[in-house]
Amino acid sequence: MFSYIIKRVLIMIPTFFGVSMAIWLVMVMAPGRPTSRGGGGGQGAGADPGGKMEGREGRNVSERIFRDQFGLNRPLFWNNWVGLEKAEMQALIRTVLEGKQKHSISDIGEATEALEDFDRYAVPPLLELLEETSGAEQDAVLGWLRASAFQYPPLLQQGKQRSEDELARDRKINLENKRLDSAELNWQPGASEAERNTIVASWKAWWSEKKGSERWTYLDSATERLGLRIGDTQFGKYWKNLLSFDFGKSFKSNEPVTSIILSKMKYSLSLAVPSFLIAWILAVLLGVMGAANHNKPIDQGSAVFLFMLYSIPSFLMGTVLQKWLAVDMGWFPSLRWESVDAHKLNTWEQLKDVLYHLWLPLLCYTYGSLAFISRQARSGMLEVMQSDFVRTAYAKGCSRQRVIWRHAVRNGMMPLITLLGTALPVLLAGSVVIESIFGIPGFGKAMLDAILNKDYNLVMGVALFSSVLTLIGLLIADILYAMVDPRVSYS
Amino acid sequence: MTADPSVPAEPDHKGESQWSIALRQFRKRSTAVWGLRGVRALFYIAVFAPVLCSGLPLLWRAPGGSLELPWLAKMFDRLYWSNGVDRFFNLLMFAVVIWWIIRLVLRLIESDPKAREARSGQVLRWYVLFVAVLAVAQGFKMPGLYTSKQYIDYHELHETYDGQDGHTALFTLVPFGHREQSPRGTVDRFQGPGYTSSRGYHLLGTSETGQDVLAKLLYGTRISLTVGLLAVAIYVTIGLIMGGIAGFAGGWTDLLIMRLIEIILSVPGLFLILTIIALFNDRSIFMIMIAIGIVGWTGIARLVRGEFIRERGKDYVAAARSLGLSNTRILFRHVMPNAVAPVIVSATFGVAAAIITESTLSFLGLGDPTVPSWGQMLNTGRTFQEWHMIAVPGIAIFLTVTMLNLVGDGLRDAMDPKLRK
Repeated sequence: MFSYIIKRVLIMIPTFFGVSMAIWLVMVMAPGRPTSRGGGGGQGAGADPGGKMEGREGRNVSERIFRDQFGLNRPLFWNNWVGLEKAEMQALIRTVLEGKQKHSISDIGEATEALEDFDRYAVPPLLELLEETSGAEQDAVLGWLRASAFQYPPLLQQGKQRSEDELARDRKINLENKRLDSAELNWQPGASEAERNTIVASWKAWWSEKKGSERWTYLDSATERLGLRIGDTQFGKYWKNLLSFDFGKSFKSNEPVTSIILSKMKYSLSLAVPSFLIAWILAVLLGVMGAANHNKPIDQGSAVFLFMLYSIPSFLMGTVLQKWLAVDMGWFPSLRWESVDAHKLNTWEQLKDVLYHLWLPLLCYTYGSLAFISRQARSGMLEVMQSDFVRTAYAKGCSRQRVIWRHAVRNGMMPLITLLGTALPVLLAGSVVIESIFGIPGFGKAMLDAILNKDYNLVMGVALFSSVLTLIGLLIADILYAMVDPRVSYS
Repeated sequence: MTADPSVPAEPDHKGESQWSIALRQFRKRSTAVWGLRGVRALFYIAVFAPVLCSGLPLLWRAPGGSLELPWLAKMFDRLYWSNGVDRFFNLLMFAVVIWWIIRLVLRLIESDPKAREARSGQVLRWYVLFVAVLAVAQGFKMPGLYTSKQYIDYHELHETYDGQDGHTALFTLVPFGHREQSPRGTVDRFQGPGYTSSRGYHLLGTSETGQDVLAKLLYGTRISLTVGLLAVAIYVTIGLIMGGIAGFAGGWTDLLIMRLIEIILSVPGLFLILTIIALFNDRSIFMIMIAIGIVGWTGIARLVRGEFIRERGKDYVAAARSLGLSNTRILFRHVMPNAVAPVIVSATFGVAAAIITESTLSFLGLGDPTVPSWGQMLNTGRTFQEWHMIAVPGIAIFLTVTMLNLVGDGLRDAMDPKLRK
């Protein structure tokens, strides 16, 4: 038994990684880049690096900051930017410079985006190019050099104060960035050859000063280069974060995904757990009742009723109940988790308030699984009631009650245990609909909003979280099955 | 030939096939038969929706003009029927009518019912092929068919011409299309059942833009049935192939496919579908079908795999192998037919589930915004809290799902030897 559990848990691990891989692939393959909506508005980023150049078609500043913060500007699997060739850079810059006469718009867009994404990797080849080029091309090289050397200070969570250390770090970064824009490292368009040469010389000085800093140490160390080739990719960062159980931050609110999910769970669990208990207890009772009174009116009546319940999708039930009981009759509140002024109430009244709001969602949550499970329970019981040992029990003089509750139920409920494993995903999926109907800020609503906002990190976190819950559910179901049914052996 | 009483009648060795037993059992279950009739009625409603309700008059003559057939002329107009589902069903409508005519002609020329059946089966095969080719061709632009003029509001014209000499207008039973909005939007907005607007009688009321709810409901049948049937067809195909391979090959292949299934199963289905649709930024109903297909095949695959593992060890497989048949042939010709029965049952329930999924998506605002779907109507009803917009699509969804579940229940019982009556 113990070794079986260990084995099951070990099998779970590759599955978990498979899930995260699959979800990541869906995200990466998805066309349409995430919008910069709610990206933080570019605190401290200030100037538009390289944006002063004319005729550029690229991303706007906030979109670039957003991509930088969430690592979306990195290559997918293999970072070949570590050894960027200057010829390659020159070709890209020429594509942008030569413009629409010579190249298609999509080529120009791609080149621009690539140049934007290279970041610090572009600095060494661009410095070399700066010396070799002249005229308009040199202007462009200077612009891109400035943009590539530019550093974005990390975004902060909305509504949070920066600490002293963070302020000092930001100040330092801003100072560096200001220096890139200063007259020391820039020339006016149309500057003379001599002016340009002095600026190039000061860039050289800048480089000898910066070369040893942590942004460029990889130039001297082969192992570090290899690490960057693998690690500084979207794939590498994703796995690094995953292994340290860090799901990143939400694109929208910039809060850690883990804390968002945990804060949402309180709403969803207080719906799911009671409805789960009610549904299972009622389902077992109904199933036993139906099977014990097989083909009597009470059985047929409940079967028809449950069949009809089974055919009503939860969004329909939710809508009808909301309109009928809440809006028309006014018996229940139609929306929200608690009253608007709930914070004024004391704890006891708050609890009552929440319960009052919980009735309708709970009803919607419960009926679907009730209908499904009790149908299973009934058929399981029916099968058992026809078996030999039940007849034997009757023959030896057991009462009907005793036969049903002591002998039949235990065996008849066996199929329900396998359903346990699937109960969790069903509840989670149900929460999407019910929570958006009743305006409850739970897990399902967060899921839907994250998907609609293309909040990749949150979607990923939510998916992984729910898949872990599902895997645990399946594991528990398997273990319970092995415990309940002695015939099952997993050796 | 008359039977000779002295020769004993040859005993019927043919026996009964699994399918004819199942069919007979199915017919004994009245609820299931009623469910099937309901589904068939839905199918006819979907196909003949334009005959029941259309904003285009069947016959039209403006005063001083000549007689026109706007309904027929615009039947395949790409501007009027903006989505492919409608154009496909329109094609199907003519195909069904022509098929009825063919049947009638066959009945006249062939008096023997058996020969007639054989002949009509022959004709049907070619005919289905022809219609399928047309349906595919119809997906490409056929310039001759699409001589579209600008959009004409015949209701508006009818009002101005009404009572004038030489004006003829013959509308369908419900004189509204599924898209035609009322020009008097604020007046005709959300009127309850039985409302008479200047354009006609709205049996089930109007929507937020003054569209006729009955028309939207009937055209919604097309979307629901299409999504239900095609999505299930997609995932049954994938499931049969994957499950068959896993069950028959075993070993590493089996392990890999089972891991894949586990991965898909461990993310809540609706969530996965939502993610696929939202991230691919494509909300056409074809994307919805594909998403349902990608998520849904696991159940079928597990079923088929289980059946295959059971069948694999049986003698007839060994016999087939000793005859030197290839694996593919054994797989698809000998083992597969034995695994089909539970798949059919599961697929029937799957159609109901796919219809629910599609309505859920539209209800959440992630459905195809260009088609009139039931979930979308329900969403409107909920947003504006209008009873008729909740009840009408609600009852439609409920009835459709119930009928399909009844058929599924009936099929399951009919194919289960233990429950034979």
